[in-house]
Parts: sequence; C-alpha cells; structure tokens
Amino acid sequence: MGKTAVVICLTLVVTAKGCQQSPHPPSPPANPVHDIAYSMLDSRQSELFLTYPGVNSGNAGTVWQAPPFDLSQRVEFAGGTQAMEEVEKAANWRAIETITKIHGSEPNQPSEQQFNIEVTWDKLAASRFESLPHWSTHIALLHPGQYGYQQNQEGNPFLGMVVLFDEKPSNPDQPGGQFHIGFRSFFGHYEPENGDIGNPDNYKLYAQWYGYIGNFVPAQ
Amino acid sequence: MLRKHHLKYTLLAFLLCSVFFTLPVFAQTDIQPTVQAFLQAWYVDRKPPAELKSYIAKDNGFNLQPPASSNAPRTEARTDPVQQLFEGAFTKVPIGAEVVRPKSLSDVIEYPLAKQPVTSRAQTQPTCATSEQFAICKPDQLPKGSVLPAAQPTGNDPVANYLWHLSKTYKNNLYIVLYTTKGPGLLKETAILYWIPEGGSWKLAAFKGTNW
Repeated sequence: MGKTAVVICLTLVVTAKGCQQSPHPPSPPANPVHDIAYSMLDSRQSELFLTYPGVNSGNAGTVWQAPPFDLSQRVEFAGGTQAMEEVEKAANWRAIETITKIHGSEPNQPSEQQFNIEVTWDKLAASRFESLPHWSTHIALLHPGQYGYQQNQEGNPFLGMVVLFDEKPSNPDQPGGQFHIGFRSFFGHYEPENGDIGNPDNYKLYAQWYGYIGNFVPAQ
Repeated sequence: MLRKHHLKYTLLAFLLCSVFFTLPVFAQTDIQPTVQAFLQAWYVDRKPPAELKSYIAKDNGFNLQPPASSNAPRTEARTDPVQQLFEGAFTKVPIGAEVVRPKSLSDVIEYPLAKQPVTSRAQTQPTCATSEQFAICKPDQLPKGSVLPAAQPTGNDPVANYLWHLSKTYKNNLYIVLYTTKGPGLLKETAILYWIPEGGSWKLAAFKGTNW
C-alpha cells in the first residue's frame, strides 16, 4: 500500500513537472480554412470589432471581409483579441475598451508599426497587467511616450504579448495604447514577420499558447 | 601634531584601499571602450565579419536552433549566424543608388531615453551608464524579467534557457547594452546586446534585435 502510494505520488510529480515544461500543442483543426470569417469571432471579439471606426452592427460583416481590410488584419485582430481574451478571462477583468486601428502587414511601414492593434484601455488595465504573474515591465525605446508590460511566454522576455500605454493620455479614463504578440526565439535581427500571427511558424507557437483561431490555419 | 596627521593619512589610505578592494573585478566603466570600439567597427567603419568575429564570445547564443523549423532554403549566411548578424544590420542598397557612409556612431545609433526627461517609473530603477548613443546596464539596473528570465525557465525554449545560463554563470559580470538604430541603410530595430568577460576582455555573447 505504502509502495503504491509512493509510486502514485512520484508519477503525479513527474507528470506535473512534464506539464510545466512544455505546454501540449493542441490538435490541429480537422477541417482547416485559410481565412477567418466574421462568423468565427466570439461575442467579445464581435463586440470589440463594433468599436472599430466606421463599423456598426449593419456593416460589420462587410467591412470584415472586404478590401481595404485584408487577411493580415483579420488574423491580427482575431488572434490578438483571442489571446487578450484569455488574459481577461483568467484575471476576470476587461482590459480593452475600444479598437482604434488594426495593423497587419504594411511593408512600407517600420517594423514596430506593423502587426499590432491600437486600442483604448480600461483605466485600470495598466496596473492590472503590472501585477499579473510572470509578466514584467517592458522597455519601449521605439515607442516614445509609451510604457508597457510583457508576457514572457516560456520564461523568454521576447515571447508573447506586449501591451503599451500612453504615458500622457488625453483621456486618463481610457488611455490609448496598443498590443502585439512577439514570436521567434533565436538571436539575430528583428523582422516584421516576428510579430505576424499568420506566419506558419509563428502560428504553431500561437496555437500552443492561446489555441487555434477556430479552424483557421495559415496557407503555407 | 605630526603623529596625529600621520595617523589621519594612514586611516585615509586604509579606507581608500578598502573601497578599492571591495570593488567588483570588472568595473562598469571598463566595458565602455570595448563596446564603443565594437559598435564603431561594425556600424561606422563597416569592418568585415571575419574581423568583427574577434568580439564574439566562445560561450555565445548565436548557434541556438530556432525551435520551429523554417522551410526557408539554407543559404551560406544562414549556416553562419554570426556573419548573418553582422551583414544583416544593413539594408540592401538599390543598384545605382549612392551608399551613404556614416561619419560617426551618433549618425547610426541612439539611446532615446538619454534625451527624455526621467519619468517617475524610470526613477525606481538604479541608473545605467548612458550616453546619447547607448546604455550599458547591469541586469539589476533594468526591470526584472525585461531582458533576462525572472526565474529558471521550465520549458525547452533555447533563448530563455541560454539567457538564464548567462544570468547565473556571469552573475555580477554580465552587462546589457541597449540602443536603437537609425539613419539610411540600416535595419531599424532596438538592439539588446549581452556582454560577458572571457579571456581577459569583454565579448559579445548574444544580440537580440527587437521592435521595442
């Protein structure tokens, strides 16, 4: 009896350690699609998309699917807000008030201005991010006038979500800012794709951290 | 009277010696000329990678394999990540376009926070040694977890594990250099460099370009 208990305990400890070491990648969707339909958004995401300038309940689906809104923006919005929703649910508070801009692939823009979502935050969001476990202060040299926090996925300061806040917001009750997700874990130069959720390599990590976006899988 | 003075000076000398011997072996100022010379050789003088490699530590993170396999073809540059690092800092100049050569380091890199007023947030951290071009920081002069793992990583991420190794193996002898690149012909990024002592001089152990 005693031996069995010891074996069970050891197994549980080893299993728990294993779970900590590498999160299980979820199974890929059975019927993958290479784009994200408006109907794939959940209620929180739809609610946020309705705050995007020029969008209302009558035209949301059309704006979502038609140019100039493109696939990279759909993936950035759906992926970014799904990741943020996970944080919101775990902490039981809402970080975002409105969406002001959605930046996907913009080859003529510098890297720090691509693949991010500009938002207005809840007034308590900054202090809440600051106290989240495993998150830390973010050094924002390329974002003058902003400060922020980073998620440190897998204990790596360069992986996971980064949230930025205006230091001097025009409306302190809804400070402006942005958030994005960092991928690619190796030493070298930064390229805009390092923040692209829709990059096939990045999406593998994304799915591991935040789950698949419905049955979306980027085209190779 | 003379004996009193003698005692005073002896005590003063003793105090000065005590301070000297309690200083860390590698004072923060020692690293500055090496970093300055390296950045000048790389960005301004554009020395060939073979020459710049003398600055790379034996214990470096450049050969760590990305965890997600890439489908990109393996070019010669990809097989030599250090060469890729040095060459990749510069953008390709269109054929026929004039190559703009920088005259000084301040033409190509800057440390923006050196020009900004110190905010209440920054005041909570002990200050790094900064110039208008770059900052040299000890790990504890930067927010915990911002450039090094705050705790031992539990997963298999190679960068997290290597950075943890640096923070433990070179405790008190690890320096972080921060700057952003600017100007024509350069890839725009924030650079985070990790420097360690090796064989009696300072060597570059890792470089991370970010959109920070």
